[in-house]
Amino acid sequence: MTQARAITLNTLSLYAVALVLAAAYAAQFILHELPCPLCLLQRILFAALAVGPILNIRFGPRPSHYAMSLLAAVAGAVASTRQVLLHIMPGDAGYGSALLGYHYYTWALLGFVAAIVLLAAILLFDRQFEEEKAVLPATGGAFAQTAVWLVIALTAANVMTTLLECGFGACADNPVVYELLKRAA
Amino acid sequence: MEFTILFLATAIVMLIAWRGQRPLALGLFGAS
Repeated sequence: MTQARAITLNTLSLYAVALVLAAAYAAQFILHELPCPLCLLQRILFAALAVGPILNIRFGPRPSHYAMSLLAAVAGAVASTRQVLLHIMPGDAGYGSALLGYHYYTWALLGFVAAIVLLAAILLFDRQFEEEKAVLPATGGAFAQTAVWLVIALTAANVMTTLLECGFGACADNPVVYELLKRAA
Repeated sequence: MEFTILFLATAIVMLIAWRGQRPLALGLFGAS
């Protein structure tokens, strides 16, 4: 795999992260389901997955960048497994609504496991690490720049919405209102 | 509040990864 192709795949992975963060927002704002603390942690770890690809696009692919995303994916898999196990007993309806038969945390677990497998797969291609850094444009082109800023914007938006939801104290286990908006009303 | 801080830390690491120095981004990622 050439370095340019690896950059394209990294860019596509950023769009995938943006899609996950946007889908989480869709559940929050369209279905009015506020994310629980474990749900927020999984969102954060999805966002953390994007740091590796951003570094790969800017500085060229390096194993250490993929390792960062791999660590985030493993942590995310642990968090989502924890939530799946919380609701695994027969008769437990689970937290929140289901999408295509699975709850969001089950989809998150599948997403993190897929990320681990894909990261391990892309690490198999050594040629991407051997080419000169100067071959690439420093910022990866408009397609990559859009992906990077989209992910950064969605993460920054989550800073604001999480502050609105949780306020300045600990987040509620089963949040139903935005803490800061409740105080303002 | 802790989740707000974690989102903020992630956003800052992303910005540094994109605009700042690589060792700083790696260090902050490890710290957060």
